[in-house]
Amino acid sequence: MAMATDVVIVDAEDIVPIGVIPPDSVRTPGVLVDYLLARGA
Amino acid sequence: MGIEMDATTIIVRRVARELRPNTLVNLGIGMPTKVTGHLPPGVNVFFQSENGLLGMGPVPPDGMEDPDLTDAGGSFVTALPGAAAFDSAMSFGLIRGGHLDVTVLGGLQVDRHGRLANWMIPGKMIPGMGGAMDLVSGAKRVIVAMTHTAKGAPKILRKCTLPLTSVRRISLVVTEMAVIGFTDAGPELREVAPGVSVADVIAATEAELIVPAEVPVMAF
Repeated sequence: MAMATDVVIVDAEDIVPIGVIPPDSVRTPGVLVDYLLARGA
Repeated sequence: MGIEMDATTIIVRRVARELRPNTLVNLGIGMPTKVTGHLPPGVNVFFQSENGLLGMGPVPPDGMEDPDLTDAGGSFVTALPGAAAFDSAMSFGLIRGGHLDVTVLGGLQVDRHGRLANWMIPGKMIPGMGGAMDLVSGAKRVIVAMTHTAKGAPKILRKCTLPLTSVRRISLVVTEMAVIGFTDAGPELREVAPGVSVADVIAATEAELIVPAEVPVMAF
């Protein structure tokens, strides 16, 4: 879906440090994401 | 400037200045891959390798090569933290789907309309067109990094004699002599290399260039 749209907003359960997600596990590369919702800590 | 630069260094240093932070860039095999060594400090660029890696890093130190981690030309690379690995369908989906900001490719010939020929020479063995056609068709901006002439013959022509990679107009050609932009009106001389005159560039170019009154010298 992210490939097909102009604006992509991600609402993640957990925002983890860069490098925690192994490359083979990435389903939607960050280059496709425009906004990331930051939930309160 | 104080540094002697050969043709390749001039080209890749000038191309590196075209890259903007936080953009997705695909570098073609050969000369374009050298652009990574000349990124201005603080310019963070995401490099894609079309065999399925986004977040490609520099060449690994000797002994640290991973046989499963190469670029599209088969050379060993590294993956930066946060890198993504995926299959060819996804990789070319990124390219064809217009998600790529810039591609830098080598060139055999470019014509006055900005059409590129870089994938085969009839009668000679060719490795295959690779991703060039997709890259030229899909990237938002196409930069061709190539020498201005080959064995004395111009490579920027009125009409290409070699089979075209695409009919889509490329954005920019950077050679060791000049920076040329392609517009509706035709090829425009934007910059000359240090020590090169406008007359030198015109003499080495078969296509007729639009030459503004002032042509600045390349800055690195």
